[in-house]
Amino acid sequence: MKADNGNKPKTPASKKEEKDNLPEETGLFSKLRFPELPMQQAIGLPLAILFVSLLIIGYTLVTVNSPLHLGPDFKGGTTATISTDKTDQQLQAEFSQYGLTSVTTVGGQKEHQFSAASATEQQKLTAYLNSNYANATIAQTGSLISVANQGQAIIAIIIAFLGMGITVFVIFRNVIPSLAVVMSAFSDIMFAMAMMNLFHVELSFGTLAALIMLIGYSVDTDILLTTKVLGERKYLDKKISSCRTTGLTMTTAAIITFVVLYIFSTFAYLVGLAAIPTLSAIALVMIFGLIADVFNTWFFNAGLLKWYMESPAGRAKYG
Amino acid sequence: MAEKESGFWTRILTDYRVIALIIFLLLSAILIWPGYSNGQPTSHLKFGLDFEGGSWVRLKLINQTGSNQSITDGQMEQTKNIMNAKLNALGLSDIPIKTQRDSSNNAYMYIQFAGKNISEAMQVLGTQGQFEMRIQSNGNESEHILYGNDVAGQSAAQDPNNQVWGVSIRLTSAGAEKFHEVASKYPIVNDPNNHEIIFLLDGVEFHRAPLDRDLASKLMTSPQSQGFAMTGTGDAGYQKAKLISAQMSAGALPFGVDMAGSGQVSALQGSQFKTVAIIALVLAQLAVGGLMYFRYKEPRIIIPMFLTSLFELFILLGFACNPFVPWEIDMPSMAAIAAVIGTGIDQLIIITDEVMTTGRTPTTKRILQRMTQAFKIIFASAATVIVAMIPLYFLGFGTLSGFALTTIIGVLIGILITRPAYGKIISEIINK
Repeated sequence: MKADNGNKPKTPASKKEEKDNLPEETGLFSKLRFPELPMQQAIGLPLAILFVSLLIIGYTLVTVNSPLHLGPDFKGGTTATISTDKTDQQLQAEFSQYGLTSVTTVGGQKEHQFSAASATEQQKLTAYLNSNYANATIAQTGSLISVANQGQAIIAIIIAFLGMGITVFVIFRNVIPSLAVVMSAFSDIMFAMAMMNLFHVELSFGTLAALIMLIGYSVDTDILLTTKVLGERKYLDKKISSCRTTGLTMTTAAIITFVVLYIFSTFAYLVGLAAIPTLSAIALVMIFGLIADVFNTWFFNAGLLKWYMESPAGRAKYG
Repeated sequence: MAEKESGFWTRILTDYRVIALIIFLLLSAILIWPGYSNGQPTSHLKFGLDFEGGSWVRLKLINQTGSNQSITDGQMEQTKNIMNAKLNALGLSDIPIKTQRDSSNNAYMYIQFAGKNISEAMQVLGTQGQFEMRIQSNGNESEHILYGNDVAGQSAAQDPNNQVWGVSIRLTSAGAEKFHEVASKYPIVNDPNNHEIIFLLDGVEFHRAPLDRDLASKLMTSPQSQGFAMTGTGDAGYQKAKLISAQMSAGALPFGVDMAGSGQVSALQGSQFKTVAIIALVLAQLAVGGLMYFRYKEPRIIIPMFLTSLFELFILLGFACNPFVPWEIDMPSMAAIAAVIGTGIDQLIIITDEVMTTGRTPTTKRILQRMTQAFKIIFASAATVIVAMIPLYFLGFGTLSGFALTTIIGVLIGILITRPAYGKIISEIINK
């Protein structure tokens, strides 16, 4: 049994000496220092953020009867995107008879949402749009289908999450570290959902895919961390900070990918091309979730792992 | 030194992982077949409606008989055939029609119209063709017998006596009367081959055959409400019978339909979407390259890493063109490609960092140990991604199947083809 860290059970090791031991970092990352938090704060802060996220989602649940604002895929109705110079007021007057619920400006175009209507009503609307506006993009979802979609979306999220959880348990065969990974992924998704509510990003097939994709992205770094830490209990802090450099590079790379995707798909109209609202929403949700992944992995999961490794159970297993 | 250098390349190029990567790259190049003609880049890649422009409708089939019985697969197939026959009659070939079911076992038809907007598509769907039956009077001339409204029903059936397939036709009493009146004017019993019965849809002939001797003799004396048009034996006869039956219905579907969903993207908008999505992905890839530069600084690491990431994408696109189960690149697939670039880079970073932290004097054994550790992590996270994607494949009539498939295949290509090769290459480079 190696005893280097053994005699300081719940206090974090002194960070100074560790910093010096870090493998040499070059370039951009040498200038950035990841804040070190005492264990209680490292675990507590992400939990507090999770709590606030759950409050926001709960508030949405109470006000709109669903944990996220539902888009037409899940609510039924019509979305029509057109290029026009008309003002919102003019458009509201023009489309009021078709059950218009909102007009928003997305990527230099006007996006109209209409509530679900009968087939004949919908056909009237499409006929009107196609005869008055060239290049209208239209998507219609019947209300029956949208209800079925809701049920399927919930099942998909649950299966995806359970599948991920089972996979993680099979990989590590150890309850607490696995729970930490699952919990960290859960918090990422909750944070992304809370941000979706704050920024009025609706749940569509695209953003649903992004939320499920987040499961994959978020366990990436958690699995890296857990694999490195579980093992001999020596040099715990050094191990964590060394794989944190790797993990942060990974998450930064992913965030950069989606920031570029977001910027270009949102503002393409500024260079005379059509913006793509679907891609822009997907990228935004991924960015939210990846930001959460930084503190959920490197504070919460790392903190919990450290606590576990220094707890009697961890010592017994990895002494 | 030069000897060591050549040994380095030999070691890389003779490694089975690197050879596999090269084979897959060549295969993908053949499958994608990139080219350039008329100032436009060409390839075998298929893009979805989101990018090509057009519309789609999803129709729910409703049993109008009031019975609660669900629509069988056979009935669904028949409805699809009728729709196909009708679209063909209107000159629209190659319109993909898919039959689908939801979780409550309701039946749907999903139809894509390339280059048409919803209003035009609905007009096509609403058009009813006209079925007409004529009799050959003299050589190329013929006489009108009846229209589709005199037909009470038709179906593909097998003659119980001689196992021959054909279309069993029921006429209304008015129709039976007309049939008797017109047909009995001609010597159909003695000279059936010069007085064939002709089937037309919107004035276009699609089937002709002489009358059966037995039926002809009955027709001479009295109206007949049952007819049987033979098409042949075996599966060919059955298929022909089904086709004629579908054409006879002239687009009148056996079930009511309800618009369950629809969508349209104009060709102009679609092509702009394609440009924007592709530029966005290229920019994302370049930005990631920039990040690698800041992180690793060394070209001997950055170049193989960046190339591996590009290869991963290239092989993924090659897979999308595979001749067995090709898939269309739609908007969700584009998002998945971004996600695959992101996870791919993540895993290359894991491999690189593992190999690079082997210490000052890397030995082959240490590097191998590290690599095993890196691949354990990579396989674990790939497994979770794949597991999470499976339910998405089935969601919402497969709206996200392109996303799920692209991600799963992308991850598999990464862990099975490109990353092992990268691992070999990077450890040789570090070990050099």
